This record gives sequence, structure tokens and C-alpha cells, in this order.
Amino acid sequence: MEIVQKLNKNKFLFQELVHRDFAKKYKRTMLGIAWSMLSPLLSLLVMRLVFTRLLGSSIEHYTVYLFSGQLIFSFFNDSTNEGMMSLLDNSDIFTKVNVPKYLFLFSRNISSLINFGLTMMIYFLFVVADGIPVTWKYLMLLFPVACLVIFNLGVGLILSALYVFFRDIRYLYSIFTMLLMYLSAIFYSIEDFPQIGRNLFLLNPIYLYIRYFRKIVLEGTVPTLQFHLLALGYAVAAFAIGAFIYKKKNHSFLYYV
Amino acid sequence: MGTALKADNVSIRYITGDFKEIGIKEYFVRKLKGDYKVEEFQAVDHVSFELDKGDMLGIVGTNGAGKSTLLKAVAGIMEPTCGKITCNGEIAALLELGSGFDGDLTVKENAYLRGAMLGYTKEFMDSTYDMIIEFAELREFEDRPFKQLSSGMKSRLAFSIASLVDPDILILDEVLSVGDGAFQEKSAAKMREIISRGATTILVSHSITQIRELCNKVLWLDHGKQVAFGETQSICDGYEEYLKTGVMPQNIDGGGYNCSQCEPLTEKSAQNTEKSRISQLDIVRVFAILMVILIHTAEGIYGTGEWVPELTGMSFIVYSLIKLFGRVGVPFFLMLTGYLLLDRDYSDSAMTGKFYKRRFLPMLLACELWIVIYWVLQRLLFVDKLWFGGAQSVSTLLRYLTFQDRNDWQISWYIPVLILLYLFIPFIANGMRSMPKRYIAIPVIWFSVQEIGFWTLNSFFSCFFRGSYIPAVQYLSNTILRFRTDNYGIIGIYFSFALVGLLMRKGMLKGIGKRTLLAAMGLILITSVLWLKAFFRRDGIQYTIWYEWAPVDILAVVMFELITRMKAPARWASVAAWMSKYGLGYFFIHGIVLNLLLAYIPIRTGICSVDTAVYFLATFVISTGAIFLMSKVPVLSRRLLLISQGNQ
Repeated sequence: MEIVQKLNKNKFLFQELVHRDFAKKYKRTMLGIAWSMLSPLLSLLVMRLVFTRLLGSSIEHYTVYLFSGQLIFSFFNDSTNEGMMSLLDNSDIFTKVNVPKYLFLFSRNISSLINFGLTMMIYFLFVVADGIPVTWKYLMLLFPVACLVIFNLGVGLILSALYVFFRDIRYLYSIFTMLLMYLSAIFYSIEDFPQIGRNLFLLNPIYLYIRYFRKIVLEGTVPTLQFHLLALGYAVAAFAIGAFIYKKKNHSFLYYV
Repeated sequence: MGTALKADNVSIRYITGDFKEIGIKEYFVRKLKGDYKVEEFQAVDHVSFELDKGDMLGIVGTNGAGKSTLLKAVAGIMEPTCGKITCNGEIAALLELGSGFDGDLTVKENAYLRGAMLGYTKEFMDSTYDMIIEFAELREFEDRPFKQLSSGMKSRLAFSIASLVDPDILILDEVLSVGDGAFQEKSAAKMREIISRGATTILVSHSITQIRELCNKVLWLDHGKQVAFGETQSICDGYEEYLKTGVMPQNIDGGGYNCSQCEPLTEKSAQNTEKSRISQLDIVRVFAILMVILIHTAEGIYGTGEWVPELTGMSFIVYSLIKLFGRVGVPFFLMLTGYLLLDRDYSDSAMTGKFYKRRFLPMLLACELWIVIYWVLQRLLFVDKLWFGGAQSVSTLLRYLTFQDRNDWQISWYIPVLILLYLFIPFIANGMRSMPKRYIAIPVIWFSVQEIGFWTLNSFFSCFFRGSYIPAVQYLSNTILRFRTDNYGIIGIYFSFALVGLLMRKGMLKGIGKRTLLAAMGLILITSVLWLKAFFRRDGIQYTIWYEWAPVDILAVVMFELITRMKAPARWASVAAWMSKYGLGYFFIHGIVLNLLLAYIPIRTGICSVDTAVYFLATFVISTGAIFLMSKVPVLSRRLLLISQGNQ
């Protein structure tokens, strides 16, 4: 296929871009890559303190419950925020050299993915430490991760394209993610809501992926087929829209940088 | 020796001042001030040339001639807005050597990155890296951060990496002048080596000597236009002549402003569009007629209030769509009135007089006559039919005629509104005449916000707050704004529709593409169905789709715009014209026909959607037949039918 050929041709460039993004991210920081593990831990600690001591939540295995939400959400957040800037930050490259523009986004996402991987290792440490049994079903966790990667790519495509044209998307998006965070049931449970409210949560893709994680880890059940389809559907839809925007606007980007 | 590169009428156009560039605030400010203008700048204007394999092209021209832009188009970075570029083979473009480097990375890392951007593979970079560093004379600096290098060093590295390219087509934008004297000699020699390998080369340079020395063809550009293309000697002479004296040679070609392939930025044929839009209005009117018949049929079959059957799944979707589209009919009629009648000049009292005599009075008389006809039929035929309220006395007739009461023929609420609208058309038109679009929009927005906004929000909130409408909102709209649940509100919203029609005439939605409109329509349909599904029945209150519901209004506007842009085939156009001539006649007649059918012909299959379709078709066909007959019968009946013709 043509697109596979194209990807192969640009493999070296892609590797170099990933290398560059990674090197730049932790330049001059004291902790370097350790920071990517430390930061979610610290925010997890803060959340746990607040919600158990101060607000008194009574969910079982609350730390793992919280961590699941935190993990997924920060992956999404970092990935899309970095991705949003990716196109514009590389403007001096694509205005002079003919490279496929989506490579910039993909390379930024790789570094977020690596961070996510590291955090997930710590997550599993917590799972084991909390006494939750590890079953073969944990292999299924690859599915939401894959969906989430595609979803992040899609949202990143959309955002980076919009960011070139409308720079204020950045501020709007930060408010949007704040809203999303509160609506993703990270630190509360949706049991308190009536059925119609609970169904509305399914409109939030992030909640969906968090729920998948929680279902497998905390409840030990594999979700239904519809759940899988919905998760996949969101990812594919986001990616399709992003790809469509890029295809249509590919040659307009450089007029607006 | 085949063609390596062919440029055919290549144009690149920059657009400035559009919405994306200036932002929302500036957009509104400029629109309000009236100086919103989108400007276009032709950077490259219909340039054509052809190169064989092994040719060396030099591009000359003063600054701003469009040389770099043209090169970007050839390299594939920019897409020409008109014309085409065809290349045979791999292209390597060295447009700005210093780009793509990252200050924080080391020299070695940067070299690899730049190599990757030029399309080299990892193996290639590994094997040639030493050569690159030696050529650039940067061995001692290879692990230092890139930003510590001087600019000369940076250019040397850039050139060194770039000189390893081996493409079929090579593009050089002023790259042969980097570095100090010694390096320049080295680089010139290197370039000659590359060129002698047989690549087709395009070179941009300000040094005419260099071009004379290296190139066998020359392209001369001036402010985007092609001055000349051909043999080096003559063109270089001409260019040097121009630089000295400022005199252009006679044969400037290019600059096809009337190029048939170019899309015009502004609509030069606004006149034609206006005419074709007006002829499309027949179709709008036919649509309006059909939708009105549809909604009344639906109400008769599905019933209103508590008789609406419990619907699920597909039948619910069908019901929602029928109701949604059906409600578009009346807004269409109103928008048509605004579109056709509000744009005229009524300042002249003769014109106003003519309007009242020829349009308003016949309208009024016709409406009164129809009321009488209904009353007579009611009295004669339907004495004991529940729907028509039994025999009506003469005093009731008088109340009907003075619009104090409405009979239940499913159309009578609309008549006083229409009469009132017609009564005030000259005043409204005169008032709106000199107002720019933005001020006309204000009453529309005012009525829309309170009717649509409050009503929609009210219903929406009521469904979350279980039961009654929010008192606060109700209070607001009843007292402070005074416009809910009584006729003033209704009149306000219909008045707004007429104004919207006027705004459409003035090209309100001109800039929005057909695809956007269709997408909007799809979105409205989906949202409406979902909204209705969620809130259809909440604690006994049934959600009614009325004209103040936002999706109905937006759908009406979008559909109106879409239909006026459609191109109907000629056959349909004449049928539509005939039908729309008797538009208001349809409006009156279908009521009788429909009620007769519903009362006396029980074709109930039990499936509401099928019933609706059957009754709808039957009503439409019989009404058409009745109108046809009446149009053949002289004078009085024709007068009754032809009111709508005044609208043209």
C-alpha cells in the first residue's frame, strides 16, 4: 500500500524526530526521565489525601481506583497537549522541506506513550501492593491502550490543525480538559447517579477507557462486546476526522504559520 | 532525453484579511464598520516552462518576483492554486540550508536529523557521516550543542550534508554563496560535481555571471508574472539591460487573469445568481406547500396531545422527522414573503398605494372569503362531527371574520398573522431599506432569543427538573419580556421569519458552502431526534414541536438556502411554477380536503407512518385536482386562488 511505503521511506526521519523530542523534553532538568514517573505519583498522593482524608470517599481499593483514572487521563492530557503544538513548533521545517506533516504529531505521541508505559509499570506495582489478584485478563488491557493511542492521535490531528489556524484553541482546550477531568469519574463513583445520568457518562471516551481499566483490574470482568465496539468507535471516529482535516487542509498550513 | 519537469500555468495566490487570519473580534469589528475585505495577492501568476533531463535552469528576477514561491511549488511544499506541475523523478530541494536544526541538540545529532529530513537512510548517514564532518571542518565540535557554532560553521555543516544528495531534480535557492572564500570555492566545485552527474537543476541566484556560466536555460520573473523563458544569452542580456535602465522588453507574457480554471475570489456573477435564486423560489413554495400538508396530515393521524401513540425505534424516528420537516412549511411561506416583498422600495406613495390595492386588499378579501366558505361547509356538512365544533352561528362567523376567534380548520391561526404582516410590509420595508444587514438582524435576534431561547431552554430544563416549567424563566418571559404564550410572541417570531427572508435576499448566508449547510442539516436532524427521544414524554407533559423550537427554525433557514441554490431540471421547473402560482390556494383547500378524508374515509392500516403517507398523497392529489378545476372555472374562483401570484 502506498501509505506503508511512505511510512517506510520516512522511518529514519521518524526515529530522529522521536529522539529529538525526547532529548529536548528533559534537557536541563534535574531528574530527567525520572520525572515522568514521579509526577503522576505525586499527583496521585495529593488526590488520595484530599479525597480520603478531607472529603471522605469510601470506595474500595481507592488508591488503585484513583490511579486508573489518573493514569489514563494524564496520558490523554499530555498526549493531546503536546500534539496540539507539534505542527506549529515544527513550522520552520515543513515550510522549507517536504516532509509529511503528520510525522511531527506521531513522534510527539511516542514520547507520551513511553511515559505512559513507565507510569503503567508503577501502576501495576500499586495493584500488586494493594493485594489485587493479577489474572490473564490483564492482557486485555492492551485493547484500551491501543484505542487510546489511536484516539490521542486523532484528537492530536484535529487540535494541531486547529491550533495553526486559531491560536486560542490552546486556552479553550485547557478549560475543556479541566471539564473533562471532572466528568470522567476519576475520583468519584457514578453509582450515585440515576441510570440516565450513568448512561450519559458513556459519551465521554476517557471515562470509557478508565472504566475498562477498572473493570478488568478491580472487578476482574471483561467488558461486553458493545463496550469494546464503542471504545473502538470513538478512537476510529476521532482518527478519521483528524485525518480528513489534515488531508483537506494540508496545503493551507504553511500560509498561517 | 525526456521531459524531467513541466510547469503548466502555475499560479500561487495568497489570501489575506480573511476570517482565519484576523480572528473573530476583528471580523465582527470590520463587518460592523463595513470594511471587511478579503484580498488576494498573486505571488506566482500563470508561469509555464518545460525542462528536459540534464537541463540547468536559472531563475532571475528582482526581489518579490516570486522565485522562492515557485521553487516551493516545484518542491511540493506549496500547492499551486491554479495549474499543474509534473515531475519525473526524485526531487531534492535545498531551499534554506539553515532550517531544521535544533539548537539544543549536538552537532552530530543535528547532522543525522537534517540528513533524515533530506531523505537519507540511517545506513547512508552512518557511512557518510565522517565525510560530512570532514568536509565541513567541524570534527572538534561534533559533540558540542549546535547553538554554540558560529553562523559560518552552521552554513558549512548544512551545505556539507546537503551536498550528498543525488536526486533526479535538484533545486537550489541561493545556496552557492555560503561561508568564507575558501569554502565557497570548495562548495562551488562540489555543486558542479553534482550537476555534472546529470541532475536536472533549477538555480536561483542574483549573480548573473554564475547563471551565465552554469545554466543553459533562464526564466525571468517579475512580480509573479513570467517575462521570458528560453536561451541563457539573450535573456540575461535583457535582464541586465532592465537592471540598468528599468525598461522591460516588449514581450511580457503570462498573467492570465481570465484563466478559466481559476476560481474567482469574489462572485462577479452576483446578478445571475440572484435571478436563478428567485426562480428557485417556486421550488421553495412547492416545498412549503408539501410541508404544510404533511404536518397537518401528521397531526390528524398521530393526533395531538394525549392521543399520540407510544412510539419506539424506527417509527419514533419517522415521527420526529415528519414533525420536524412539516413545521418548516410555515416558516418557508413567511421567509418567502420577506424575501420577495421586503426588498422593494415603498418610499414612493404610488408604490405603496399599488401594494395595498393589488396585494393587501385581495389577500384580505380572499382570506375573509375562505373563512366564509369554511363556515358554510361546516354548517352544511359537519353538523355532528366533533372536530368542527358543530354548527356555528352567524355571530360566530362575525367573530371569525374579525379574527377574534379561530375555527379549527388547522390553518386559521396563520391568517391573521399573514394579514398583519402584509399590512405592515411597506413600513417595515422602508425602515429596513437603508439599514445595512447587521441592523436588520437585531430584531430577528431579539425575537429569536426570547422566543426560541427561552422556550427551548425552558423545555430543556423542565425535563431535568421533573415536571413543570421553571417558574423563574416563565416569569421572566411573561412579565419582563411579556412575550410568551400570547399572540404577540407568535407575531414576533413570524415577523422575524420575514426579516430573515429579507436577510437571505441580501445574501446573509452567501459565504457558507453547500457542504457546510448539508452537514448542518444532518446535524440538526440527528440532534433533534435524540433530543425528542430523550424528552418526548416527561411526567405526562408531552413535548410539542412548534415553530419556536430552535431546530425547526435553523432547519428552515438552512433548507431555504440550500433549495435556492439547487438547480432544478427544466421539466420540474414548469410544474413547480404552476403549483407555486396557486400556493395560497393550496393552503386553503388542503384543509378542507384533509378534514373530509380524515372524517369520512377510514383507511387505517394501524401503522401511523403508512397512514400518514397515504393521507398525505391523497390530500395532495385531490387538492391539486381541485385547484386545477378551479383554475379552469372563470373569475371568482380564480380570484380566490391567485392571491399568491402577487408575491412574484
